Amino acid sequence: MSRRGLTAWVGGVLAHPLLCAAGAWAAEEAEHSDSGTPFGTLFFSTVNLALFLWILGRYVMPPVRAWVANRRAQVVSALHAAATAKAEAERLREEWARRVAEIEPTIARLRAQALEDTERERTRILDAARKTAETIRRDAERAAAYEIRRTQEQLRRGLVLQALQLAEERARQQWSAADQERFVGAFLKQVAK
Amino acid sequence: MSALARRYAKALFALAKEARVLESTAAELDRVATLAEEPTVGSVLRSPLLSPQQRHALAETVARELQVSDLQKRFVFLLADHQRLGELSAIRDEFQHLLDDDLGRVRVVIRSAVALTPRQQTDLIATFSRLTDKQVISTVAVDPDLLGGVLVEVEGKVYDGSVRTQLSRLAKELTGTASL
Repeated sequence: MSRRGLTAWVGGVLAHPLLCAAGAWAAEEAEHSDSGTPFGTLFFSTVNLALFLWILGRYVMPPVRAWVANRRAQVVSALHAAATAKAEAERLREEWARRVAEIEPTIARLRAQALEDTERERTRILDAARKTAETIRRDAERAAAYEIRRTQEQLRRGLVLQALQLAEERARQQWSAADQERFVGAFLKQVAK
Repeated sequence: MSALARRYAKALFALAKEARVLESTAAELDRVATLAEEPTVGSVLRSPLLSPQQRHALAETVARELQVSDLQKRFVFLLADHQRLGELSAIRDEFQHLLDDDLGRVRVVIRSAVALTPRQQTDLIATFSRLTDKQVISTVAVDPDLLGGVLVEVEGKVYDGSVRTQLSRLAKELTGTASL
């Protein structure tokens, strides 16, 4: 409780016995009068009312007015806050509405982009795989050709070696004086040239 | 053949020619070189462990035992003093070559798969004599490894008419490789 409220409360408590006494005195006066308006009663009632109004105006009304003003300020502030919140909410709603409206095209764009990227990557991988396969094929062909050539050379070499050995054997066994004569004659002709 | 051996051979050749003892000097040099080619003698002659005095004494012993001429003796001493006794064989060959050149001769080595007939030898000598325009001194050897035909070496050149070489050439043409 504020200090002003406390003062009003104390004033009211002090004035209450006085008002009660005034009331009692007015009632007693009324009993002694025979007829007509009891002026004493009127007077004390008036005083009583005046006191009541004075106390009310002096001690009760200021806190009430302050409370009302405070309350009004609170309500105004709350209204302002509510208005601000409402505006923010409205802004957010519009933004989200805009975003929601943009979601479909964005999804479509992203999907198209993803498809394009996937296609590009797929093409790249396929190209790389094709090149690798081509390289492997060429290497395999080259290796096979080399092996075939090497085998052919080995076979030829083996055949020639055998033929050479056979010729040597024949020459050792069957070389005649006539052969030697023929070779020496050919050799001399060749040297003479 | 080393240039060193050639220089020594030329020096000895000049002295021998001046003294008109070319043939005898060549024969003596051949005897000395043949002795130096003996494994036991050669290793001692070439040994770096011998002192100059020991080498000189050894050369003197060789000259005395072989009874060589004074020119040859001095030449052997010179080689010993300069530690060139190991070059004797090369000097002998070079001297022989110089002598042959001087006398208009050429040495021919004839290798044949089988023994040559006298007529074949004569034909060969006559052919190479015409070819070199020199008198041919031939050495004939039988080499069965040639299989057939002949092979002649003249002044560092080889004239190959052997079956072995012809077969190798044929094999090379067939296989494309250098040798079999």
